[in-house]
Amino acid sequence: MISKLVYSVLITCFISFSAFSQNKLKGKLEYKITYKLNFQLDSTDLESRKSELMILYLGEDFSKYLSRAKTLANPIVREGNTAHTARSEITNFHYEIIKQRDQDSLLYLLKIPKMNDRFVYEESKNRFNWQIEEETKVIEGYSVQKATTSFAGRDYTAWFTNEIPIADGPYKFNGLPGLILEIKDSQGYWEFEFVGLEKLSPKINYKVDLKQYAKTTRKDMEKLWFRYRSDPMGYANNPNVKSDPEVDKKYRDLFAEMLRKENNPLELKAFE
Amino acid sequence: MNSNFNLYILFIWLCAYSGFAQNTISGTVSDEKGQPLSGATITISKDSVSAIKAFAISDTKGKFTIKLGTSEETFYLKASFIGLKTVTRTLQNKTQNIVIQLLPSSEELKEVLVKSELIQRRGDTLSFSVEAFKDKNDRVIADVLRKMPGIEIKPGGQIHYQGKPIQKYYIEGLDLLEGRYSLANENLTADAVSKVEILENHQPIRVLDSLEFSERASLNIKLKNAVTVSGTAKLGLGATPLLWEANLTPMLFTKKRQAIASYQSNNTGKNVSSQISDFSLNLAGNTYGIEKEDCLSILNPATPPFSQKRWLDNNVHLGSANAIQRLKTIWI
Repeated sequence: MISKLVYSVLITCFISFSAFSQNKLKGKLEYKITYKLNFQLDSTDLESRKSELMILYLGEDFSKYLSRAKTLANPIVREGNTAHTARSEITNFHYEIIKQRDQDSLLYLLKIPKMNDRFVYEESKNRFNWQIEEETKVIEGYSVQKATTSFAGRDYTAWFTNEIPIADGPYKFNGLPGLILEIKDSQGYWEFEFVGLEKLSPKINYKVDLKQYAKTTRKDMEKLWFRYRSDPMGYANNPNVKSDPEVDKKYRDLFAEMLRKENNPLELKAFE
Repeated sequence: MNSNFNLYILFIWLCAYSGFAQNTISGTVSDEKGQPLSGATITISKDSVSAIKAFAISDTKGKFTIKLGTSEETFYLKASFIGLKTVTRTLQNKTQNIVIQLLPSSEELKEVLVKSELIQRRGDTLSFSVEAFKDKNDRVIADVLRKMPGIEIKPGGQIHYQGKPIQKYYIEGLDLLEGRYSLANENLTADAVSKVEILENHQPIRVLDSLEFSERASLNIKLKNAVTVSGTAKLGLGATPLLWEANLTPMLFTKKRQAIASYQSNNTGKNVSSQISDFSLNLAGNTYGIEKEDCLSILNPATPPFSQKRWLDNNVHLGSANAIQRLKTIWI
């Protein structure tokens, strides 16, 4: 009995190790696809609708999806332009999603802003049960066909093109016989529009060392992200920064208020 | 695993329901070296032009299986992979196993350029893309400004934003012309400008910044190039009676230095003096009138109810030269 338990523990360990056996991901990014993401974080407030540009890089062996703001993390500020309001790029999306072509799972990477904490979780890529429909249309010169699926508590309509024969798309979406150019949920809360496609020349070298990322699960990552968002100062826990408890409380209340308004994430229901 | 099993059950159920024998096509996809290709898309349709009916993505071993949900005698199979030549075949509707090899191709995806965003907001700064608002009839920046939401150009040339006159007209952050910005506004070619920024609640005096709230907006013209030579040169002549119109307005903008010179002359009734009228805020609205009553007076001729250009009998020569040198870089 005990030996069985030991065995199963060993096997679980082995599996979790092998899942991350490939610690370094290296490759060249060939194409850059830009999407405009229109989203509404507070389902009760139409005014909270926002837009952001998101980028999907296509490489030979994997694709990388992230916010455009993240790709501009170190902008070269033009000197001598005094009327320019220099502010760092602000984004609602701090994660990166990597889909490897020859793996059945995708990687969700998160670096806590302004900190060196990096986390990664792995989950199945094949969470989509696509229904292909006859309807077609044209987006920016690409002929696209309609497909529907449900994902994490929302129903989506996607438009994919076989003219770009890669089974990929924005966010975690993938698995259609062609790139997803447009996808939106039935309520219009989350909507990805195709904006542009650019061939990168020269190709961008991309390397990520997964050893720098602490492996976690989706649930734990969400908890951690919530902890950071509700009290970034507390999370940082920097002994050199002393703050007035009263001010601290005010900040925490503000963050709580902000988080309360973010009741409408893309993934409504967690995937079991 | 579980979902796969469910799918399987669903599939069996569907098969039973549809009532005709489902043929499946399976096979492998490989590259030119014979290595299995994962992530290739295999699609099934009625013919080469009709919509996709069924599909599969090849797995890590290059394998795929598709259920042919069709009763047609033949079907059209297409296998493609990014960067490789697409293979197409017309096949008989029966259960079969095929091997597909995809060879390299030089064909590339057609690019779609990202159009610059019409309007972007960053804090108190709104920036309008000139490219998005400009059409081919627009020659100077004033023509484009007029079309931007919230911006209005009065007949005299004064720019209003949200119904209020603007405070400053900067070019690349420098206030070269102060209140007489019409000269630049009506002579700077729209092609040289990349963006127009509206700085809302702008406090031009740095000492007062964040001390005194300003309700007025300022405008900043952002140029495409670091060094811009622009301007207008125009010459028109007419005979009996002799009519002329000349406008020579060269401009130079660099990071440190800006200069605008202008010579304009005409006798065609065009009132060029509006180009150098001062719209500075401290002048606006501060006109003092002295109340007096004349016993005798001559009736002033009324302004004709048609455009000034039609009745103004003028002979005007206008010269203007402006230069500014930046001494220190200060961020606003």
